[in-house]
Amino acid sequence: MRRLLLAAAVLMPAAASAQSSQFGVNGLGLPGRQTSARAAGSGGAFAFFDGNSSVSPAALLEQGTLTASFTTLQNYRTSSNAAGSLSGRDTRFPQVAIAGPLRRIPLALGISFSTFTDRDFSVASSDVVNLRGVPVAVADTLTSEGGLSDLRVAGAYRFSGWTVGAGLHLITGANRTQVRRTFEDSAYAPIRERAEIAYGGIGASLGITRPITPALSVAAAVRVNGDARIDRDSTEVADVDIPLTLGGAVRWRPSPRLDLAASAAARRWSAADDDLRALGGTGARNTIELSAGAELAHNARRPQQRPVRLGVRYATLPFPVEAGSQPREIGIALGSGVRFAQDRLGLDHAGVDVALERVWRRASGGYSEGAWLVSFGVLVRP
Amino acid sequence: MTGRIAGTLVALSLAACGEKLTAPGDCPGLCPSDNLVVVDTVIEARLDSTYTGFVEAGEGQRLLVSTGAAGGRRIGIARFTRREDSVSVRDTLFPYVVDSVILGVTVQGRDRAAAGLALEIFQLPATVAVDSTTTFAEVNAALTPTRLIATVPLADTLTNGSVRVFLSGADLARIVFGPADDNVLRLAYRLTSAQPTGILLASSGQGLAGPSFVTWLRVARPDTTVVRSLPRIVQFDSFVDETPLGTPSPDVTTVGGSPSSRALLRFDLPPRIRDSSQIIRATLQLVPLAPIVALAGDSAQLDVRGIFSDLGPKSPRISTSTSLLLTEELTPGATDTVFVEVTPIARLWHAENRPPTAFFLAVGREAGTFTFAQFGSSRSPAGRPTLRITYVLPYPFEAQ
Repeated sequence: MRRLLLAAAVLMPAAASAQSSQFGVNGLGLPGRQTSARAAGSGGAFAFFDGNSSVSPAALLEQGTLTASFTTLQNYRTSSNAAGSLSGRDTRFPQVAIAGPLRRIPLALGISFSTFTDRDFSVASSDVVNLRGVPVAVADTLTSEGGLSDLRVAGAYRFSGWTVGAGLHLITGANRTQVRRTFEDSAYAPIRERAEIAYGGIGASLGITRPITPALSVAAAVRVNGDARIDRDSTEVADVDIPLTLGGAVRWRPSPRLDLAASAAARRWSAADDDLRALGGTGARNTIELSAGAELAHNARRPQQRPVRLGVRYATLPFPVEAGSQPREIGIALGSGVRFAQDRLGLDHAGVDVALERVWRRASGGYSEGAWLVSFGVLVRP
Repeated sequence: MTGRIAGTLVALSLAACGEKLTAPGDCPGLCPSDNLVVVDTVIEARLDSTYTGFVEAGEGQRLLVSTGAAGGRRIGIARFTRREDSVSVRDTLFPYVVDSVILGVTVQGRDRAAAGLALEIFQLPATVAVDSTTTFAEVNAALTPTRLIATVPLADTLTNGSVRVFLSGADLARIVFGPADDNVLRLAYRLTSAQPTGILLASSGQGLAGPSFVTWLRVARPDTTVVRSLPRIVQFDSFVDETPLGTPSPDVTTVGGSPSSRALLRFDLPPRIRDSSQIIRATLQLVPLAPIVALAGDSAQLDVRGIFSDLGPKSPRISTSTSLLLTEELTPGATDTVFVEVTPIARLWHAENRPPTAFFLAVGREAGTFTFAQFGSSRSPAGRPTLRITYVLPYPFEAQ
């Protein structure tokens, strides 16, 4: 069975990550959420307590045993703006994580690979340009595949009721970009240009989790990043500040079957504003992300066996479509999961989680987008 | 249960493979147009050279015959192989009697507006060598009425077709071989018309369409008479020009004529264009210094090609693809600037092997056309060759 699950995970198409969107065209792209399918099912509210997500390194000790998780994301969206509406779809691998505790000491280690920003998009437009004094109709296509990824190596240690985690982040990734233009006048040769935009940077994160009462826990995390170096076809063209992130969450379990959580995070993307404007872009603005969710267990002894997860989420997006504006995103989520391959000790050796999110994005200037996000997570505990 | 779950996983994996990323590009926020900067510039030729002698008169596919149009009077000439005194019938040589003679040429072009044309065919004396040293003066001096074999009226509708002269009986006396002729027929083809014009005759380079000379013989044998043909092939054919062009001025960009001239135009492409831009349109602009010489009805065509390397007159021309063989029709008598779209060649300049930023100019059907053009050169005070380039700057992907 485990082999089958691993084979299925391998068969799933591997691409950069996160959801493609017209709001990922500018700046560094659409920020990824670095959450597992389980956390996504409750709007991301449990991400600070989820060892399979990469939000807080302190959450690693939530894993009772070594766990490998793979998450896919299928995105169906309709993008609208003044030029019209188009529907699109894509598949991503937003989160891969392996983590587990060590024996005898309350220490867990983990490594994860997740989406930092997604720059998968294709934009088609038509225009009339003046060439040699004559108006000529043109059709343009701008395409990007890739984005920034976040490789995290982290550990978490528990002492005196506190769980403290620390992580080292390597930001990497590349965009394979292409622009094409065809002219109505065949005297003009089509334009086709490609470039690979590569990114590199480092960061560090620190997280804590503290149970206040047996039913109430709080968590907080901070992440600092250095500049991300931007190379165009192996030549450095710029450095861009990657934001400081501060976040926290609270989790309350009023009954053995009900788990509630709420989280908030703020990111100082405006640090990249000058860098992006200097490159000719539309800049960047600070963002906040708020979410709240619930997990209702079907069986209190096996809370991850067919639970019902619900969540809502609100976020602002960092990269304006038009300078001066700030896109926003609202989403609701529904999810569940199953666990199986249980051994005699009651440990589930495998499981799947599914989350369905409906997301609305909007920005001034008539830009809007509605998307269905289907997350599918596979857990394997060898 | 686990099997169903695994099957579901695989099905979902396969179903999720499709990608459709495109979103509408609204300007200016999501419009590539704002970042695609198109620039238009004009570059003067840095250096040009004209080389003459690529194709001599008669080495082309057609012979030029004219009465003063398109550069002066021209007379076609042809020399055939020797007609033997006897023929072999079943391994035995027999004397023969000439039954008839057919002389032929093929018309391959004319000015359709010119009417009342006639082609005169003369037999040239042995004193006219009919080779590459033959001059117009010596041929013209030999075109006396006594040497006229036939005058063939060319129908006004004839633009492409064969012309035949059939001689028999007393007319056979119009072809006379003296001792000096050694049975070698030398012919001259002269055009007559009421107004200056010209025609194009197929040369021997086109095989059977070239000038022909066929003798029909009767061989008397003891028991019968054999009738057979004796065709003679062309040993040399060409045309002589009353006013040869001579060596073109080095300060003029010259193409065409006979012997044919070609011109090499070199441009200095700014590094900004060559290294990091894309040429989307390139137009070569040539200013005629004199009306373009060509015959109406002839395909007056300017050929432009790139070169693999600049070796002067021996520069190898790029002809690896028909899309790189660029042509522009020239209008007889025109003095307007000639524009040639050379984008496919100019785009080669971005290639890794970096071909020279130059164009090799020639006329189509060299030495087989009346076309002759002189354009301003890089040394001309005015009318220098220019290249108008429209290019796009590198797209700022990192700024999007």
